[in-house]
Amino acid sequence: MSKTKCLIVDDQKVMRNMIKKMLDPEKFDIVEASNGKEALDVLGGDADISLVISDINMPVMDGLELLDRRKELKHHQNTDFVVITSIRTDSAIQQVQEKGAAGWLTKPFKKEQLDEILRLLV
Amino acid sequence: MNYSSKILIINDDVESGNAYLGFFESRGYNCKIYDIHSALTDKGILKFDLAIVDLTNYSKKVFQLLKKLGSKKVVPKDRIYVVYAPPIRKSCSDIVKNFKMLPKPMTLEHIERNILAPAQVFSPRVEYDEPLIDAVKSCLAEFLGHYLGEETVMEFKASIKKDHKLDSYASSYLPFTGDEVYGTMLLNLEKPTLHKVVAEMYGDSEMELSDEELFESIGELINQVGGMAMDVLGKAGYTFWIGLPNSFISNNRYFYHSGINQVLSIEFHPKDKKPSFFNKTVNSLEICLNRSRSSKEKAS
Repeated sequence: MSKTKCLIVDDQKVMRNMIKKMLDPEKFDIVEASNGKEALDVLGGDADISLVISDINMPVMDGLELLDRRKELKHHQNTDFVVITSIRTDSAIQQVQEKGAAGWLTKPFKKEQLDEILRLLV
Repeated sequence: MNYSSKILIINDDVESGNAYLGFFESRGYNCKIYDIHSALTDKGILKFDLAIVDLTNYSKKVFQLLKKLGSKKVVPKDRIYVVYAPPIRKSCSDIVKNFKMLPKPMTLEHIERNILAPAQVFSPRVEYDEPLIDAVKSCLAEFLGHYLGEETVMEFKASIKKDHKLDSYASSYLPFTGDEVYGTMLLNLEKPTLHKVVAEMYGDSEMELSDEELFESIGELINQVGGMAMDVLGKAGYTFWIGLPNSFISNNRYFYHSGINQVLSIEFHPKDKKPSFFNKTVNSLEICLNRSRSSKEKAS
């Protein structure tokens, strides 16, 4: 079985490490970025990434802008995008949905919750 | 304070100073920029309505300048805003305590919100009433329950903070701003508690963590508490958006919140027996919530 290439985007190293630890290394190849701009650069140079797990509240470029801008990338217009964020207001969730995220989780969350979302996508 | 006010900007960093200048001039303010040395030596410095001093370092010159601005009546004392990198040492704390302090990183919009506030505020006090305190407590309870287990029943003690001193190991704060409120919130944790929460984040309560890893993690924790607060306080009528976290080692240092209101401090510890990860009672969440518009102004 081929592995899914996943990009984790979060400005906090502890969150990237935590999400990485939750993902089965047998199933996922992980790459990382610490903000939306860095993520766009990584996506632009790697057509094999098929899943993005991203925070919203980040410096330089936030996750909502990343959600929009990845549509400019030829190979990533339909890449699955899961948002993991501490922001849980109705308006933020609505924005995430409207911008085409495949799923979202609010922090703090448990491994089982992430597994459930990924089961539907991968 | 209004858009024709004269603002004195003091900043030693050219790029940052120009960003201030561009922002406030584009909004119609009448601005003049100095570096610290020029501001100190210029004997003909004019009178300004307000000063924004960017404190990139805590040199003697800066404090001489702050004294000069106040004593020579270049700027009214209560209109000197100091943008500073927290935390502050005790020796510096005594010097800056009379100024309006704005912790970095702070967006220019947030700075403007602060300097406009006194003129716009109908009632400067946000009432730290029961619904608001309960909302903050419920955020903390959910956050701690997630990491420490639902069986760890927490006890909270709310009070108005009397000084700016910090007693915990590490702290992290978030600025927040909305149409009607703005301010800062600060999470203070002692080391065993921080270690326990971070280890639980990784799902391994016995995990070894370096000081660096602990320090890097507290920003994520205030981010999570801030996200919850945004939702819970939003439902209680305080709508705002959170900024980015900034962390520091806090032991015996000082932190000044942004805004003019008093600081609400909510200390927390387990209700029953005290586990090893709560060996003192200096874990707390501080919040300084300020109203930027009155309901009367809103109605008109």
